[in-house]
Amino acid sequence: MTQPSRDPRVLPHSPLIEAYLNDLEHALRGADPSERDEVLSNVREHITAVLELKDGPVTAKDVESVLAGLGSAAQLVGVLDYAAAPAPAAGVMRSAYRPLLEPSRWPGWVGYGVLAAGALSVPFLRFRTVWPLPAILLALLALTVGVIGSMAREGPGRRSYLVGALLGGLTLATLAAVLLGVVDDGVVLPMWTFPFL
Amino acid sequence: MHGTVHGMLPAGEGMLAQMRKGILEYCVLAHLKDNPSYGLEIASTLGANRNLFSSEGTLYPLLARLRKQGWLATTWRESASGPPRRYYSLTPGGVAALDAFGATWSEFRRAVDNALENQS
Repeated sequence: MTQPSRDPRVLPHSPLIEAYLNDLEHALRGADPSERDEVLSNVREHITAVLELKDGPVTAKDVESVLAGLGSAAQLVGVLDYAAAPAPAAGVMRSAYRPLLEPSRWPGWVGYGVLAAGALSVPFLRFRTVWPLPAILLALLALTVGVIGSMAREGPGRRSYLVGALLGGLTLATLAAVLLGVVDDGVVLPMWTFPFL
Repeated sequence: MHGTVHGMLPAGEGMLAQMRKGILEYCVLAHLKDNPSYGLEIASTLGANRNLFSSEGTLYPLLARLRKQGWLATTWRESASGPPRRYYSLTPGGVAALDAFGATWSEFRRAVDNALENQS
């Protein structure tokens, strides 16, 4: 059932371990992403290190013993309900609004929204001469939220914020350059101009 | 009536679970006061005392929360027997929090001891 690992750095393949980590990840879905990643990383390290101490091949019984020592996913997550919760910035802050004010706790779709806003702002440059507001608003949104999000987050989820901010910044810079006459609108941006404009 | 009241009394693990709230994180800070350490070592030491931790794994959410709180910092160090390990150490904020807890705890413990002694 459980295969011994030749490389001591690798977590042994075991359905029990996979199920345990899946349960834990699911139980931690409401936690801060950085906290969740850290807990999962530490638990993986714990399991690997304890199993390395076993003599001979790792058995299912060994795995069961390690997981029992760790405790259930519910036990682990239950600690977060009372452990040193970060104090709110203002005493009257409602808990429902706290995630909005903590970029590190923004749900994953916000990053994709920033990326979409940044990406949409670029084709809206086509309408810049008669209807520039959407391009400006989308670009400002992508740039502002993208910068805040990328500064507060780590890991793969940060990329969408960075790219969104970059695209928003590109749109705003292009609009500014055209409006200020730094670049020739007809020469630099022909691809964004409708034939009838 | 007597049976109902008796059934509501916290006992054993339930009582310990209540008493651990707000205290365990300071035990972790105290453990790290003099020397940085990594998860498994802390879990093995503190987790061995079942009065403190019901299971070794409950340490890890605490470590993550304390780091997020700014009371612990992490560094990676090479290990002689495996992959690099994440070492936790107290930040100045963690030292201050531990000192504040130590002062409060002394008063609190004295008050509880007095209450229990007066009862008996």
